[in-house]
Amino acid sequence: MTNDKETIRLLKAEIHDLQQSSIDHMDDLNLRAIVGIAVREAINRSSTIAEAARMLGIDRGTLYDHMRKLGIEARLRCVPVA
Amino acid sequence: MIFLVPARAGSKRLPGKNTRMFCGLPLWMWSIMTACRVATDADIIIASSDDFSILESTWGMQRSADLCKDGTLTSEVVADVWLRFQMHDALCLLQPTSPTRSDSLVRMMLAHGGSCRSVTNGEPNGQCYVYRREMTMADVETERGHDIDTLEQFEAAERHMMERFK
Repeated sequence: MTNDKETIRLLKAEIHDLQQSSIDHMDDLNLRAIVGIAVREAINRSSTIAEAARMLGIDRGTLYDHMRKLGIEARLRCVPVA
Repeated sequence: MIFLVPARAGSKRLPGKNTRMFCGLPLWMWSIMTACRVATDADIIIASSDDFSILESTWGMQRSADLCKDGTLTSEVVADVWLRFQMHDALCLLQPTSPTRSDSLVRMMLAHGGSCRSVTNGEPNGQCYVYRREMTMADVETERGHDIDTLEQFEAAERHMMERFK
């Protein structure tokens, strides 16, 4: 079982990979991945869910819905809130 | 460079068009995402609007009521934004009604170096405009994309997007 620190490290590595993908290989991605990148980047750049939702122009309920579909709800709990 | 997404609330043919959910995110957000992918850290990204949900977002900038009428020209909105950010010498206009435009199209337009607009068979297709200080506007021929004005066009663009990235 990984600890919180390790989970955060893995999450950051995954986000980094996705960010690289978004820049260089957009046409190879599917729609779910494109929305997933946007959601992950918004969360990565925000300190709260409300802030991430504002970055995406959606309400918190819609963001939670995306997170549930993308399977990133549990991971977010491991990210310390500034 | 200023990246401007003009997204007022009023739309006659398709009410709430700009904030309508398109493939999981509001229609206007797709143009913001394009801007985010091609912009540098020195650039600014703005959604000029009178819609509360857009103004509440990270990107929203209040547009005066005078510039939210049906007859308002896009050039008037561009001039208004440029006056507010005079330190920038170029502006890239990305209309929310062209969510299926490619990043490479915008990069090509920016690389052009002068003022230019995307056209198909000589006619502007609304996908991208780049304004610089010089007034001469060159045409850059591109494939025709989706230009959303009605519900049918909205649904057709969404189907195309889902097909393209399925």
